[in-house]
Amino acid sequence: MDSDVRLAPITELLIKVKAGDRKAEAELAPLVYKELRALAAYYMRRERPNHTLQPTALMHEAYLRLMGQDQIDWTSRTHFFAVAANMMRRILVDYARARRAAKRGSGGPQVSLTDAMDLTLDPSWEKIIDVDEALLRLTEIDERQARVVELRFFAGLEVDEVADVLGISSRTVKRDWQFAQSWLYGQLGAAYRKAKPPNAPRSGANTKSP
Amino acid sequence: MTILPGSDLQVPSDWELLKDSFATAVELRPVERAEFLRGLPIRAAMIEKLAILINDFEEANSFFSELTSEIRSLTVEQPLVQPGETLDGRFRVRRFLARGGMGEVYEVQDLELGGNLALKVMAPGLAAHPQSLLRFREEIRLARAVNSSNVCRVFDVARHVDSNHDFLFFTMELLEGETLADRLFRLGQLPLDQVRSIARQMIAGLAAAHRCGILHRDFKSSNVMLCRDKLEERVVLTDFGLSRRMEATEFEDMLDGGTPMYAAPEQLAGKGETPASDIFSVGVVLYEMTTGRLPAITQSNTIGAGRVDEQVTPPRQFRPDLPPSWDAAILRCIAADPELRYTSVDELGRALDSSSRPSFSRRALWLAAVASVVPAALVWRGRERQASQARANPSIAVLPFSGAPEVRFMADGIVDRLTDVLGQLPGLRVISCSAPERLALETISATQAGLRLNAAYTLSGRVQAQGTQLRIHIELVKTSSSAAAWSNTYDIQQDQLVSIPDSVIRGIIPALALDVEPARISAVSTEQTANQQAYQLYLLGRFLAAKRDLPSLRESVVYFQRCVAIDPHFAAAFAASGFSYYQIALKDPPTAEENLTRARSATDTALAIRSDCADAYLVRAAIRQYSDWDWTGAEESYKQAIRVNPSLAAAHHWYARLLYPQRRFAEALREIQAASVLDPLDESPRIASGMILSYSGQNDRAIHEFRLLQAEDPGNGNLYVPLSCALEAGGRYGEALAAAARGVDVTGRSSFALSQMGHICALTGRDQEARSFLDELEKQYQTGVASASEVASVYMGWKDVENSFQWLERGLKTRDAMLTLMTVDTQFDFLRSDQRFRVLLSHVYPRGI
Repeated sequence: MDSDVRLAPITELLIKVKAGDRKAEAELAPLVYKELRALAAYYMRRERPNHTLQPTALMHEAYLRLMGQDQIDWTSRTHFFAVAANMMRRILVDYARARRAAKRGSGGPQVSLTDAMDLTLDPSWEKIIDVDEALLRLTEIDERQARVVELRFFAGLEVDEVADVLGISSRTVKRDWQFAQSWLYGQLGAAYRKAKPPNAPRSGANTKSP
Repeated sequence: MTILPGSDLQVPSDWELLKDSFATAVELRPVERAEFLRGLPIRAAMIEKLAILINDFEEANSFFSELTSEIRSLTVEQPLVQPGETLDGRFRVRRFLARGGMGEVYEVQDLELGGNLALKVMAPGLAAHPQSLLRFREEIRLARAVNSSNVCRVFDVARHVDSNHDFLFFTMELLEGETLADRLFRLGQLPLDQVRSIARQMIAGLAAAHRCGILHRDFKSSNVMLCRDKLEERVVLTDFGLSRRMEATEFEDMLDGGTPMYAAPEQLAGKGETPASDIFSVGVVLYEMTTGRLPAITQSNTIGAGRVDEQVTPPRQFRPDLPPSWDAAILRCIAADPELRYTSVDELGRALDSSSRPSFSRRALWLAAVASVVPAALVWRGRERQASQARANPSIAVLPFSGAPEVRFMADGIVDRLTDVLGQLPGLRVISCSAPERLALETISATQAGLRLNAAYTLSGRVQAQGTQLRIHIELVKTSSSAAAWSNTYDIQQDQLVSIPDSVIRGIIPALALDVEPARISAVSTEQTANQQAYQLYLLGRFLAAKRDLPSLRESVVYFQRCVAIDPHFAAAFAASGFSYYQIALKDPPTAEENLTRARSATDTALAIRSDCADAYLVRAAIRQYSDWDWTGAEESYKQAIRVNPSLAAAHHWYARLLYPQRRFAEALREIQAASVLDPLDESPRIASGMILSYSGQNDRAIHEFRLLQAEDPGNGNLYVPLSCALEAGGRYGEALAAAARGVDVTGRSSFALSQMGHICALTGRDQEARSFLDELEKQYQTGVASASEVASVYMGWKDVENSFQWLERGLKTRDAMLTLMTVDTQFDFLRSDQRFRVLLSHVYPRGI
């Protein structure tokens, strides 16, 4: 009975989301965010250092927890993922930002040698933040493609799952994903490039534009 | 159509073209690509861009797949340090426990003092700030004042530097269990019985901290540990006051799933923290425990945006079996306006307590208490009772007055007198701060001191002198609002000092809203001498006596003698001299007898003049107990002392020492807790409560308490003998030996430490060492420093019945205090069946127990 009280609103919201209710989606988002964050925190606190924070697994678990045990509806799940992917992205980016802030301490000239080492050893946080920023620009140009990246990259969904969530063909997802990777990579700037491309354009200054 | 900044592409047509071409090109082999690109009917600039995108594809693809796997392994971070490493040359890492809050937590072994502790490594980077260590030290010094089994003990902060690391860490009590956050995560919401037990202990812990002037600042369910304990689950609050000092809080917030959910609106607005903001956070945790959810967030898209309290759904809507009074209490805690919340954690505790029906476990506790078996949780229960009883009356602490060294005696004297006089006013609880500990209060504000002493009001002042002219400024401050409730400046001649207490009392009684008959005020506040010179000598004597060392005590009686020579009706001076004589007798055994006689006669005289001298009753009681073995008479006198001045901490403490040898453990603990509440800075009641626990058979708990004290103040000479005795009673001889040895060192080879040392050596077959301690003790006995029963103790270690009795019987003649413990101390066990033991016992306890 307790769990009914706790979970009912989620089911209701998901039904509305399924019916295309944007307001319901906005209401659902914070709940999903909270659940995902709690899950992530729970796993990160664990003693088992080899437990990984797999975004897809987290989203599945969040879904099961929020829905309760007897109400699993796999079509709702798709809509749930559509909302959850964006939240997962926020979590990862917030986490990366917090992590970067923590590593920098109070920053500036007082960063110790070990901090500096840590930062160079642990660059994925920077990458996540940069990808997120590039993705914001992609959203302005091509929202669907950005959604594909969100689901594929931040939420870790397979191509078919992404197609399911967005209601487009797998082929389109694959094409979007391929193009977006190249485009985003081009946006990231020289720091992440392994080597200069063989037939580099004459002007090296335009790596920031498409 | 939008033109993107920095782009020469038109959206969407060029974009779509680019995408389509890319999709085709990417499928082609490199040689075919060039041809394909050349054949495209688009502008050269576009072809260039397309070439770059295609050229980047493989690199981009591997970049994203690497990053994806990195994201998947975010938590595969190796702990910073590995088992076996030794930190700061002292703590050997046993295992990684958790990654939480501001850093990683390990279980470590303390190589110096023994035992296992928890060690928290703080975010690197902090170590680089020279101020950090100092600041943490100060935090920890404050936190140590918190004396509650519901608050995680923090021991020390230090820095570890080696070739790989440079970080700060702090050590704390090792707790086994899970956090409340994790339990809620597992179970959703908790059964109400569990909620009650957790709430009660949580509140007790927080109240104890607030009493010490320490705010949690970051109270949340992940800072509440639920520990397995024998009798009931022990709830322990962690990360007191410390977490907000960590600069990596943003990181921590992330880990904990959004701490802002627990923070009060005024905290989020950066307006600073108060006891009320902690109460808000407790409310959120209570909400969470009862409903399995946090108070509703707004429905805006902004995650974690501020809560509007009018919109919070009452927890009862989610939890229909929640008592309505709990519903109301929780909502009151999380009111947006701090003024609407409870004014103190104790008040919240009472609100919840009064509404929870007595549960089975509570009744069981009291039954157990009646049976004289002191349950572990009784320590807490007693404290709570004390606090709630005492809370009914307003409380006030008289803080040390400031002043130049030459007026110090007057400043301290006035403080002592005001403390005495206020303690005799009905309906007021007076918190004292015994002189040596007062220093700690001089550098903090009146409000901080009030919080630390758990006093609703503080009285503080400043004394300035110019020739014989004095200016005394005195101020009454309300702790909860930091506002002055009364103040006055006296410009007087030195010889008018005698009028100050009466004037202050009359000034503050209305401010405290006390209902006291005028006659009663005059009776307690009018000084007992009209002679200015006598009064000043008296203040000087009290000033010296408060220093407690032997030379000062001896000097103090000289002043008291001059006092009564001038005014032979000055009862307080007689009482004070009685107190000094008694202290001298304790501190200087060879002169004990003559000084006890003097103490007795001084107190008799004082009480003959006036019957309201609490000090005199106290000394009379102690003499009756230890010199006369008149237990009934002693108890009567302790009760009289408490009746005259219910706020006299020493009276409660000493009364406890009469109770526990009679195996009245529950009563003894209550008195000890009263003493703790009334003199929160004094550690001696904590030692006494450890002894009571040990004598009542709870050695493990006693040892735990002693160990905590040891970690806090390793130089405390009064600690090691009781610790050693408790360890011995628990059969832990090796540790008992180590503790006794430390006692011998710390106390400069005092007879009581030597006696325990010799005893343990004898008990564990270290005959040669035992013999040498015995020799040393016998020499001390010859000069009157050691007592006969202290010598007997070594023989008792050997289980040498004949010599034991021989020395104990000698002790009977000198009325050794140790003999009063025959009833409870297990070292006497092997003698109990002997007829001579019963004879001894009948001398010490003529009326039995």
